[in-house]
Amino acid sequence: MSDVTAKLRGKRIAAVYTNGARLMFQTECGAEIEVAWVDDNGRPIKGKPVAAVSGYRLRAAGLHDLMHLPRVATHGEA
Amino acid sequence: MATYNKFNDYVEQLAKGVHNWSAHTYKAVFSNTAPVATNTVLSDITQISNGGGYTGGAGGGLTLDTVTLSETGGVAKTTIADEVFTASGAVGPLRYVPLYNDSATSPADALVCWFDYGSSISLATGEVFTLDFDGTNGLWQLT
Repeated sequence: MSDVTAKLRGKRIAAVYTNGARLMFQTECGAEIEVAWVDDNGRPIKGKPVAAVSGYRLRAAGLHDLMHLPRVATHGEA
Repeated sequence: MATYNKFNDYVEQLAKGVHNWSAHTYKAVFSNTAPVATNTVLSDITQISNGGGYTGGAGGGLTLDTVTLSETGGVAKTTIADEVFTASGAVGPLRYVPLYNDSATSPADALVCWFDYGSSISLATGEVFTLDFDGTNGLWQLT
């Protein structure tokens, strides 16, 4: 799990701001996180955040155990 | 997580051999009208209008890719690659995503299941709708 996910997971987003180089997420509970882009050495990369891809994701749950194995019931002896 | 909603007739058609998950073509369609469990074929589904890159109707919808049927230790499983649809114009509103068998002939276009996104959404040009299938546990398991 990324540190961004860890900070935002389960929280409701109240606002998203940008200064042209960083993205700040503010949540309704007051938590905030500022996201920046860095290279492999941790140095900030020049550029600005943009909405590259947006849309929706439907997480499709599967159906397990389509077939339930029958059980044999015993009722004492004759 | 969108719940798997079963069309009742699917299990009967599965037992009759109508569905072949290793050979048939399965598709997903978009709808803004709630399916019911007693629906049996694609024509029972009210699809959204064509447009924005979406073509519905008989035989329409999104072809599901890399549908893999496997069996391990007596458990059969079908996994499906995530399907990504990118709108080329306005699409929707849509909320439900039924799956059907485009190769089935008797009955034709037999329904499998449907997923409920939870609310109606509309896609603008360039926006994507991702059908995120469980790549580990699969769409269904038979044990």
